[in-house]
Amino acid sequence: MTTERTSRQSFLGDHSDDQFARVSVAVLGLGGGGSHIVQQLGHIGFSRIGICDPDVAEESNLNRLVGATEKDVEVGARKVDIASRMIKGLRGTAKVQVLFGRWEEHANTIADVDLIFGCLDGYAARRDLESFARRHLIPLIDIGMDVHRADGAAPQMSGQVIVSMPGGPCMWCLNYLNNVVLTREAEKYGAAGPRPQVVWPNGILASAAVGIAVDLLTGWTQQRPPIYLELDGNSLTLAPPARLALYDLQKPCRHFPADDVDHHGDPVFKVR
Amino acid sequence: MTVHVRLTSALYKDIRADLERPHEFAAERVGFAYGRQALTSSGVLVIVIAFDPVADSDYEDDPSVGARIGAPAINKALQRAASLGAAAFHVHAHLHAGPPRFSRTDLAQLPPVMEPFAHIVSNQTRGLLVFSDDDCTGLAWVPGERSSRRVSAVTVVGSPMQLIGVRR
Repeated sequence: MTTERTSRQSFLGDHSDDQFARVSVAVLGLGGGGSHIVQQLGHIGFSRIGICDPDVAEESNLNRLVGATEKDVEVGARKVDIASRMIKGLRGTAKVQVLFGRWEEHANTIADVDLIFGCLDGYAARRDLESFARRHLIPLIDIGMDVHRADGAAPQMSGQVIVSMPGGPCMWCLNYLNNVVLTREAEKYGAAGPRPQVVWPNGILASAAVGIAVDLLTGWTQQRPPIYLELDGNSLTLAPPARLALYDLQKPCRHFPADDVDHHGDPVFKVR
Repeated sequence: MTVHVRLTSALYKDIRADLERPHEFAAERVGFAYGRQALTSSGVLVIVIAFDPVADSDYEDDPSVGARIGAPAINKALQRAASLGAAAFHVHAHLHAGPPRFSRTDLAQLPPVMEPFAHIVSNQTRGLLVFSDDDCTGLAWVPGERSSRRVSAVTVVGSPMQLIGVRR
């Protein structure tokens, strides 16, 4: 049953409030994208939220970190505490699991959640998180943005929302991850400098990610949610990339076979 | 400590379809689900990956119970769990809406069926799952523990996601 608070979202279904209250989600990375997601989860009524980040608020975050204040920067507030404050301010009864540190340090807690929002920087970080999510059969909704600058041309803002659903195509299948981008990233390691980040594209990507999560949990659109959306930040459009038509999305993922026991759970030693 | 079970919607659909098939004389169908466990900060997560129905010929005709399976069915399940190094669950269904309950017969007769799994794959969880039309109830034995624990949640991963048997 929906309540007065959620009466305007009752079209999501009779049991949507229960579903939001029962589902356990984690938001990994509480920067520009993750802070938007956390805020929306609080508004919608998600009540079991794990939030993970190793950083404290800095002045350069204030252009995009939703919920952060100048005072937070002054006292060096942890991003997890800023996010927790935001959720609790919207929903005092929410059970917020504050996971300060890198997500790998909290893997045993994150393994228990039903859905992960991945808001990490970099290809290698996404590779590792997707591998973890697949091993534990957890849907992962990944978002990220970047700004590229070619000589003389206007900066090009891009981003993505990828739904990595166990059994479905992974980031490798979609060619978002490949050895070229991983090698390039590894070569630049330590020399990348601060990545451009602004608030509005993160808002678009985060809203799409939350919208997909709500649809996954309620099925209100009665459609299969998108697998891959690409943001053109200059024209402010979010759409499936044209190259998606080249891939057979019905083909089982060969990188993370869904029917292979050995690809799931904790590693075990088997004597043959 | 919690025991959380997770499986894909495709596998869940297969299991449900199989358990709803009529049998020549048994009133209920039975199968075994296999998976791997992961230790979590709150307990154990069992990721179910495969399901084998009990063969028609491995049922014994006993009108006093919903279904009785013979030693060959259990031996096959034990062998499969051993080959996979897997956690294993005895699975059946009570075809009604709402939370299902294990019958007195279930609780008396099914735990001994799963007991040998503790010796064959000692490092994995074993248990019982009973599905209804829209819910699930489960019991699980975690390695190193003598008594069973109630399964606290079953997550069906797909589109839409289903959270059934949630007793959080």
